[in-house]
Amino acid sequence: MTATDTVRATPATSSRVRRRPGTRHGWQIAAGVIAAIVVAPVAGVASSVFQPTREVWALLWETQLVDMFTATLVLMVGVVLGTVIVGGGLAWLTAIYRFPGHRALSWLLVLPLAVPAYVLGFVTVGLLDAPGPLQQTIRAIAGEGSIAFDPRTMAMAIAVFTLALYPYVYLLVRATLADQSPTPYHVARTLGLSPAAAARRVLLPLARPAFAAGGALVAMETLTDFATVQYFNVETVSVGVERVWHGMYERQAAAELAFSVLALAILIIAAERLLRGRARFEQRGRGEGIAPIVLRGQRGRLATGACIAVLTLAVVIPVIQLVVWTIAAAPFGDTAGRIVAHLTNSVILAVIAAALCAAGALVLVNALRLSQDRVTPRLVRVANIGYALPGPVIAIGTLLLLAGVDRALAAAGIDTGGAIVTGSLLAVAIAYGVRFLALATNSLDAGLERVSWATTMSALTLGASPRRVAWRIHMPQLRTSLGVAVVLVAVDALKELPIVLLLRPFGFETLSLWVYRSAAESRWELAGPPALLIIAVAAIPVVTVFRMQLRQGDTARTPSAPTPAIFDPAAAGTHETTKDVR
Amino acid sequence: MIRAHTSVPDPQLVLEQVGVRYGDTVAIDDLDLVVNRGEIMSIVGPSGCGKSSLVRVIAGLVGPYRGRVTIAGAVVADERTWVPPEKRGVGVVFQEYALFPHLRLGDNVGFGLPGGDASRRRVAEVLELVNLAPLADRYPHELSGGEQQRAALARALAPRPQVLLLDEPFSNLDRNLRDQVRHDTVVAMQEEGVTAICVTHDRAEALVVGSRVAVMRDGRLEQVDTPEAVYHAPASRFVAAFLDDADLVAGTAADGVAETRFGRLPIQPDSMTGPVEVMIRPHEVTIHPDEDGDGFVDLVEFRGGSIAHRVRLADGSTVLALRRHTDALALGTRVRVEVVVEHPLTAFVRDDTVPMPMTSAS
Repeated sequence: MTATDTVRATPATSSRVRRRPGTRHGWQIAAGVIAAIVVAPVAGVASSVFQPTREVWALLWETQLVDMFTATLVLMVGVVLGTVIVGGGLAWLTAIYRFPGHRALSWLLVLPLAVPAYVLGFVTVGLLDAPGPLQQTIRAIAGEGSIAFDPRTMAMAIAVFTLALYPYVYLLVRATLADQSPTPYHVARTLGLSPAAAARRVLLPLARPAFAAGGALVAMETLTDFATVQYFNVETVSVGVERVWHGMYERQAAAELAFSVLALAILIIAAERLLRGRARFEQRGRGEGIAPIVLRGQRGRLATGACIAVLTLAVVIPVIQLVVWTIAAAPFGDTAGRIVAHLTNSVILAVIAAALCAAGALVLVNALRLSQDRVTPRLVRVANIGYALPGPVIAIGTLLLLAGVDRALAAAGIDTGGAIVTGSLLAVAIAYGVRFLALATNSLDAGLERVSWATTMSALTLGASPRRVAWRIHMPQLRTSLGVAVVLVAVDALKELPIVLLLRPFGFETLSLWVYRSAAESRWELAGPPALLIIAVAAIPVVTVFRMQLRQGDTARTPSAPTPAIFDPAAAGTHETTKDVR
Repeated sequence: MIRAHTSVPDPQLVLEQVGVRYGDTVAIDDLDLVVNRGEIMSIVGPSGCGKSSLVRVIAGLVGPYRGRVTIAGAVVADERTWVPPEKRGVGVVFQEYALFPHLRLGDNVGFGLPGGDASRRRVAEVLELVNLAPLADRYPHELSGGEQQRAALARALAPRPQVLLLDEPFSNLDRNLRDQVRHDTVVAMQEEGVTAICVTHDRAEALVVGSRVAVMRDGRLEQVDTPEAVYHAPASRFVAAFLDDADLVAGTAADGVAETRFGRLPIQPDSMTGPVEVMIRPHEVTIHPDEDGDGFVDLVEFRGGSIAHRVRLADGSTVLALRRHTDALALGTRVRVEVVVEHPLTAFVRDDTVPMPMTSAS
C-alpha cells in the first residue's frame, strides 16, 4: 500500500465501547501502576494507623507534639520565604540584568545544589560553635567571656536550609524568565513602562508557576529532613519520627506520627496547585527571552557582590573548612580505598534512581497530556506524594512490602532465603524511585506545559498513536527538562541519608552514611573527605548540565556589544506573529 | 474565486443531533450538519458560538454527550462509541499552526505518513502544491507566518484525510497576506478534492472560502446554504446582520410587495402579509443630493472603492448607502433615498417587542 495512490482507509468503527471519550486506558493504567507502587509502601505503614498506640500518643501530647508541629511549620515557612527571596531574587538578577561576571555567576549560583544541607549544617555548627574557630578567635582577641553564642537555633537552621535549597527556586524561575517570549514584554515597554517595571509587571507574574513549584520542592525537602535539623536542635516532626522509632522503639507509633508529616505534605501540594492556579502559560515558538538590562558602575558591582556573597556563604566557606578538616585528618592511610568503595556505591544508587524516576515521570506527564479524563490527574498527584514522605516511612514501607513478596515467593516454593529481595539493592532502588519521582515529574510537567495542546492534537489527528506522539513529539521538546530531572534526582539520591541507612544491604556503605555518622559524633575531620567528595560528585552534573543550559540560553540573547536594551536584535529576526484580538 | 460544484449529495461528514458541553456550559446544542464529498463548508459565527467545539468534536478531541458523528460512512462518535482522533482520518489546521518545532518542514509534513518512497513522493507533492518545495529543510521558526500556515495545511493534507478541518486558519496572518494565502489554500484544497470545514469569525472570509456557508450562533446552526443564499436570503435577522451591513425598513406586505417609506419593494417569501421588516443592503440604496430630501448625511466612511454614507432620516432612523469614491457627499448634505433592486428583498415578520436583530429563526 502506497501513500500516493491510495485513499486512506475509512475511519475505524470502534469495536471497543468507550464510554468516556478521551480516556486512554493504557496510559491511565500505566499511571495507576506507578501510583500504586508509590502508595504501596505507605499503605503498608498506613495499616498501623488502625491500631493506634494510645500510650505513646498520650506521652507525645504531654511532652512535645505541639512544639514539634510549631517548629516544623516555622521552619518550613521560614525556609520557603528565604529561598523565594534568595533564589527568586538571584534568578531575577541573572535573567533580566547583565553585570560583571554575569555569565559565570549564572551557573555558579546553582553550585549550592552540590552541598547537602546536612553538610552545610555541620560545617556551620563546627565553624560557629563555642569551640569553633570563629568564637575562639574572638575570645583570643577580646578576652575570655567576651562571646557566648550558640549557633544551634531555629534562625540558623532556616539560614542553612535557605542557602542549601535556594537553587531549586533559582533554576525553575530563571528557566521561566529566560524562556519567555519577548512580545508581551515589548508591548509593556511600548505602553510606557521602564525595562525594570515591564519585567516586573509582565514577566514576573508569568513566573508564578515556577515560584510555586520551587517553593513546594523546598518545603518538602525541609519537611522530610532529619539530619540537619538535629544539628540545630530543631525538633521537627521528622525528628520526632526518628526519636520515637530509635529512642522508644515504637515503630508503630513512629509510623503513625509520620502520617501527620504526610498531612503537612498534602497541604504543601495543595498550596502549590492553588498558587499555580488556572495559569497555563504556554509558549509559542522559541522563547528568546528579553533583551538584558546592562548594569554599570556601582550598581553592577553591587549585583556582582550579592551573587558572590551568597556563593561565599553557601559554597566557598564550607568547602574551605572541609578542606582544612580533610588536611587535618591526613595522613589518610587506608582512607583512599575506602573512599573509592563508598563513592562507587553512591554513584550506582544515583544512576538507578535517576533512570527509574525519569522513566516513571515521562510516563506520568504523557499520560496526563494524552488521556483526557478525570482520573489520570489524580493518579499523577498520588504518584508524586513520595517526595513528601519522610525517608524512614518509605523505607519501612518498602521493607514490609518486600518481606511480603519474599513470603509469597517462599510460599510458591521459590526459596530466596529472604536475602535476594529484602537484603538487596532492590529495596533501596524502589524506595528511591518512590521518594524522588516527584522531582522528575515536576520538572517534566513544567517542560510539557510549554508544548501547546494544539501541537499534541495535531500529531494525534495526523494518525500518530499516543505512544508515537509521546516519543516523537513530546520527548524531543522535553530534552532540557529531562536533563534537569535527571540531575535533580541523581544529586538528591547521592545526598540521601535515611533510606540508605535503613535499607542498605549489610556492609553496603555510601558517602552520605559516612558523613552523617562522623558529623553526628562531632568528628569534623573524619567527615571532611566524604563530604568533599559528595560536593565534588554532585558538582559534576551541576557544572556540565546547568552551565551548558544557562550558557546556551544566554549566547542566543546576549548582544556581542553592549547595545541599548530598548530593542532586542534577537527578536527582530524572527517571525513572531501575534494573535488577532477579537 | 473558483468554486467546486457539489450538486449531487454525497455525504462525507454527517452530524446528527450533536451536543457538546464542558461541565455545565453547553457549547453545541442539538446540531445537524451534512458535508458532501469534495465540498468546502464555511462555518461562521461570532466568538463563543461553538465553532471551535464543532472542530473538536469532529476531530475527536472532545466527545459529544449526545448525538452521532459519521465520517465516510463510519460512526466515529455516539453514546457508546468514541474513535480516538488518530483513527479518524481527520486533518486539522489549527489557528496557531502547531508545527512541530523540532522537525524540519519536510519531516513535519511527512509526520502523518508511514514512511518509505511513496511517502517521500507524497511529501514532495504536497509541498509543491503549497509552493513550499524549496523550503523543505527549514525549521518552522525559519518560516514566515504565511509559510507556516501553508506548511500546516500541507501537513494536514499529506495523509489524504477524509475530512480537513481548518480552525481560524488565516486569522494569524497580516491582512494583505491573508487574501493571497486564502486563495492559495482554497485552490490547494480543490486540487486535492478534499472535503473541508473552515471555521472563521470573519464573514467575508466565510463567503469567499465556502461552497456552502453555515452560520452558527449559540451552539446552533442558524442557516446552511450557498454564500449567495445566506447573503441575499438570510433565514433570520441574525444572519442578515451578521453577514454584512443591513438595515431593516418597516413596511406592510401583500402579494409579494411591501409598502415602505422607500416605495413599493418586491419581497420574498411572497406569501407574507401584514406588518414586515424588509432587509436592504447598503449597495442597494442610492442617494441623490436634494434640497427637499427627507434625510441628511451624518457619517461618511471611506471604504476604498466605495464610500459609505449614513443617512439620518426625519424620524431619527438611519440607513446606509454606498457611493462610488469619486461621488462622495459632504457631511450634512440633504439627500433623497431610493432603493433600487433587481431581486426580491428578504422580509421578516415585524415584531416590535424584539429589537433588531436578535431573533433566532430557521
